[in-house]
Amino acid sequence: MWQQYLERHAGEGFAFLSIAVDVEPERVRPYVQPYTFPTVVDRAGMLGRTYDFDVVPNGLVIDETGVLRFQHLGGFDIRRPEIEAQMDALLAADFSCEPAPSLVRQESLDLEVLLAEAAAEPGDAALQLALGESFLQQGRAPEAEGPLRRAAGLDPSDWSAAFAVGAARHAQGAPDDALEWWQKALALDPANYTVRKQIWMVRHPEKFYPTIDFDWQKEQLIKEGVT
Amino acid sequence: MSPVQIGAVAPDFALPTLDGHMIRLSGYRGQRLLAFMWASW
Repeated sequence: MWQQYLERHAGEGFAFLSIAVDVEPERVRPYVQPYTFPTVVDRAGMLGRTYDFDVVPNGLVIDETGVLRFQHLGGFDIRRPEIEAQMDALLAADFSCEPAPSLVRQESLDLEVLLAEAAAEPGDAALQLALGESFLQQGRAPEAEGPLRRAAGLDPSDWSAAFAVGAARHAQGAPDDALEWWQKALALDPANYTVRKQIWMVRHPEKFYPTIDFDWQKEQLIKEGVT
Repeated sequence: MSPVQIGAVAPDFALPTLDGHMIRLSGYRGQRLLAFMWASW
């Protein structure tokens, strides 16, 4: 779908980035190889936290100055004609108005900076979380675990810290631990569909691969008291 | 937590491709970016 859309709009000067949300990055590989655009993986639930979403698929348009000009959370499907029309318009739009001040705290993305800042402010949960996420995104789960556990301890109400600890445990081959942490995350944010589905995927991979059993999901939602 | 505002700077991120190459959102400055977030599940 996207490959075709991008080929139709080749030469228009915009970039396209595919972002997969998954605690098991290798699940993404079949969706990467055929395509010319880059795909990255968020295995820590980091974007769900920083962009405040609890569903996928989502679309974002970010302009040339780094300003977010559009987001569509859930059901973002380029095969839908109204969404394709919307993307056409957004890619051609003039975004020359001044950006609003950002309300989102931006931590450094540099590991050295985060290590120094976290050491200087050991009681700062956001720094511990950013540090742990950074280690985890770089495939350094054992080093991620300490900061992530500290973040979860400093802010026990934060679903994203609990989720990230689970992701670090999962990356180190401890799925039972991971599931325990993810259940905590879900208890803290029961509407979080990405956490719920990630739990299902790890517990019941046969309901997702090679094909997704949507009827099973509907039954699970009833069993889990969500619908 | 404050949600991201339309019209404000998008939070930067650094995420790996499957071959371990890190891509930063801020690396796209100067270009319009369409980002698609999805899951295999």
